[in-house]
Amino acid sequence: MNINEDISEKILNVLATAPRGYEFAAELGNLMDKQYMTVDVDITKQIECLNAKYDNLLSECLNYFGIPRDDGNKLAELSKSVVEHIKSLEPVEVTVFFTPDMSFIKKLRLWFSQNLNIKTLLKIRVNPDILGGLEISYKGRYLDLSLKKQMETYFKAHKADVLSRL
Amino acid sequence: MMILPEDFISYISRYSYLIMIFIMLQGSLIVILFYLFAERVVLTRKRRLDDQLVKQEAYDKAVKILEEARAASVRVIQEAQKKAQEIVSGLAAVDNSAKDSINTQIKLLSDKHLSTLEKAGDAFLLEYKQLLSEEKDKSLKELEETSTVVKDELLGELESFKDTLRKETYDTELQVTKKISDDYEVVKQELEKYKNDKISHINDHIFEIIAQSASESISKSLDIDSHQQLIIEILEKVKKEHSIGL
Repeated sequence: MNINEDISEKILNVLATAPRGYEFAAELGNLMDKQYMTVDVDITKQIECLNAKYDNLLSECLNYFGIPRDDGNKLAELSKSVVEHIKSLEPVEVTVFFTPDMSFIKKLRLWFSQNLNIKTLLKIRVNPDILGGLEISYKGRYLDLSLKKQMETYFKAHKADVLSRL
Repeated sequence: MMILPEDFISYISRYSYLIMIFIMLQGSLIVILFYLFAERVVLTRKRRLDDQLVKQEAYDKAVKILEEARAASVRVIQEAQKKAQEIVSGLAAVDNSAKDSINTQIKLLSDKHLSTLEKAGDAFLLEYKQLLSEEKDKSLKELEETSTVVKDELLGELESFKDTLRKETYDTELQVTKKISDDYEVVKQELEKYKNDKISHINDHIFEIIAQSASESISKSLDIDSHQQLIIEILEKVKKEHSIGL
């Protein structure tokens, strides 16, 4: 089952961060495993639990591909594709000064997707030393957009002026 | 009372050992020169005195020899007289009056010889004494002249030495002054450099503190919403400048 850009964006929009993405993939995997257990498992109930935790993401995916909830095979196929897709993503590492809430993380992820065409999950780190702004690391490349760096640059450029005021 | 500047006192104390050495050197040289002069004068006098002693001994010896010679001559004459008288007494062919006359002549002749001998001896002695006296006067005069010459010579050497010492002292003083001045300049430059380095170091340190404090103050003055807005603004700005290399 091909996870195209459209559905991928929906998945990324809901999950936003790499840890949450891996968690979703793991739970989806567990759900599929339960299908093949001898004991009767209420799949529908399981799906609802997942939906509640991940903003109806699984239902959206099922609806997108037109898969009924009781079609165990297609559900398994979809789950496998989604898990593989999530695992194939290389996340962007973003370091910030404060602990952001989910809405800001989603906003940030969306910005990367819309402005830089980077369609992946984020890995958020918190470092008070940067004083503000952010640091970005992606596919071996690094960008320091921290407030600390900007202040250092500013003061270096205006050192003589600062010292003259002493 | 004039108060000397601290710099001057520190330089003097620093080079005081050099000044002390100089003074001691000058004093030692003057003492050595004086000793040499005195030794030379004493040696000259001693030499002259020795000469005088030798001459006096020679004179005494000569007088003794003369006395001995005179005594021997007198003995010879007396013996000759005695012998002559014995010969005359022994002559049988001559009568007593003739014998007396011959004896008288012999005695007169002996006395005359003795007198001549005495006069000759006295004349010789007198002449010898005169010669010795002249020699003595001449030696004394030479001694005085030598003393004067030696004195003038040594005074001349002393003056020359003093001039040389004065000149060398002056030159050395100039060298020491120059060295002190050069050392002072070097120390002054080193102090200036040290001062500037320290000020620069302190300024850098103050600057770092100011930069860090300002940065932290700005960071803490922003709330979470402002930080979030800052992040988006930074990203927008960098995107506009096309400097995102991701």
